[in-house]
Amino acid sequence: MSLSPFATVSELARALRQKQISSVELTKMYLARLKSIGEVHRAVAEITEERALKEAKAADESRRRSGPKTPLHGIPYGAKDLLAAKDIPTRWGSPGHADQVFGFDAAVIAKLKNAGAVLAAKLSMIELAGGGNYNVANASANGACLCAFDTTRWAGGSSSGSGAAAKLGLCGFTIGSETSGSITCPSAFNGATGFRPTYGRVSRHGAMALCWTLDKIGPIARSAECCAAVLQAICGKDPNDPSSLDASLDLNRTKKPLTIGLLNEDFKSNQAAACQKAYQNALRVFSKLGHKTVQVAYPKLPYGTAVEIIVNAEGASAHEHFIRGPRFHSLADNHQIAGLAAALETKAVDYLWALRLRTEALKANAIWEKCDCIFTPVFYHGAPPIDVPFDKSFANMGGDDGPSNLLGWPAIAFPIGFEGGLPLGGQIIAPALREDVCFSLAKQFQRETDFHLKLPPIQS
Amino acid sequence: MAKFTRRQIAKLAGLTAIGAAAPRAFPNTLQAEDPVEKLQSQLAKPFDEQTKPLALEALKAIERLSVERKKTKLPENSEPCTVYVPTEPRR
Repeated sequence: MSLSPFATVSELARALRQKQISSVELTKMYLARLKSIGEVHRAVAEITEERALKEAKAADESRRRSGPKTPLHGIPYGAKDLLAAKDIPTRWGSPGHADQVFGFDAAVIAKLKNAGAVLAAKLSMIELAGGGNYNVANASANGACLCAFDTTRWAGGSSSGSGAAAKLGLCGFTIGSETSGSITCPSAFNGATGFRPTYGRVSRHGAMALCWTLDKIGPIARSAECCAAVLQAICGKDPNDPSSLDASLDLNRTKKPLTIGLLNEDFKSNQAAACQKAYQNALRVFSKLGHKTVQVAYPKLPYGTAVEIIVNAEGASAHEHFIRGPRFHSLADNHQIAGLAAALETKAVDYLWALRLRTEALKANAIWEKCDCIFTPVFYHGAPPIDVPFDKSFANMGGDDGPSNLLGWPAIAFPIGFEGGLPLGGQIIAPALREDVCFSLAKQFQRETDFHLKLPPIQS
Repeated sequence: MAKFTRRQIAKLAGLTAIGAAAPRAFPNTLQAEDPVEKLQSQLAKPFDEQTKPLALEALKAIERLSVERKKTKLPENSEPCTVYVPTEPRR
């Protein structure tokens, strides 16, 4: 047995199919990495060894009997610790939920089990997905999760462990979640490829709610192809989640060439020369692939203000019992305590304004008359230092402040270059339910470039 | 049971009306309450000393959002983006 822990989902599936390795052997390899590298990077919330070995054994037996049932059959993965896994601690990254255990699997975990995937670990995250406006990297029961490329830097959040573990080769793929940036951010900082599906594409049953009207669950892995395989296994209507969509997913419907929308970027005032270079290089790759670009702009509306108000109101409501309870003050970050408590004071009229603004923001869909997707950097710089508060370290980070999260548009984040050894992420944003466009373009880009293949310094 | 004449009722109503219109002094409620004290009174435990100034900042941020959002006028009577789908009860 000799298989790289950095293999893609399709390479792992091929190795299993060709009996180069068994699921049990693969699982043991990843469990060892989770225990060593995972602990160093604080990417792990809970190793699910007993369940993993049981599921891996069952996968091997089932494969022997009737072959692989899906491309994920027998592949170990890690899930953000906001997803319930039966009888395994699910702490939501919060010191105040240290003894929380659910007696059922979240819909995503159940679907992956059904697909034959093996749950190897629950992965670290920012406490309560950062709903209280966290300001430090160690706002987590697990401490600051360290960037895959530099242990003095932050892995991003709130799906911190999912981003780091995917890139560090701690499992075959990971699952993260996003309310506003929590998949794209750790994907960019760790040089991983992460996918945020259309709102409602993936059931959130059994996932901690931060924002009922914004939360999405999606994969983080080592390539766009990996993410596509995982999305196909976890999407679909779920009667337990009324917001889940009954919409078909056809990832092969994209027609070439594409028209890529470009936003007005501000590299200069953000002192982002390295990002500008990586961005322009990506545009050259798109052009070589035969795609056109066009300058576009969102209607000028306060999307960010609406998202903040919604996160405050829904987050405070979802966690009200905890906020008013005796364990609230055990949260790791004082900003979280202050922010979540203050969010109780959000006015109903402000919240309803935000939901009415969302109706108005639907006008931004007009942008899709001019282009098939939008390409923009996730951030203008690489991962920030772990010991500098975000109100300082994010000063020149930039980042898309458009309507994509408010309107539930899908996006894929992937590495497009490096700045001083740190990965820089780009993202392709597509119209609602057009995940195929994200995957088509990202896959083409990754066939032409090798940024996603660059390995982190710690490999074993 | 006490009985009131129409004259007595009219007199009482007049007094109530005067009472409702007259300024009344309630010194305790007129004093501005410390917003952090008010907030932490809703919690199981008070904030520690480090968190108190952060709580004040967070309250100001909530207020800033409220002020900020008022700068964007939405169409009169526009609907919020929420959908309630009535369903028939299962038997």
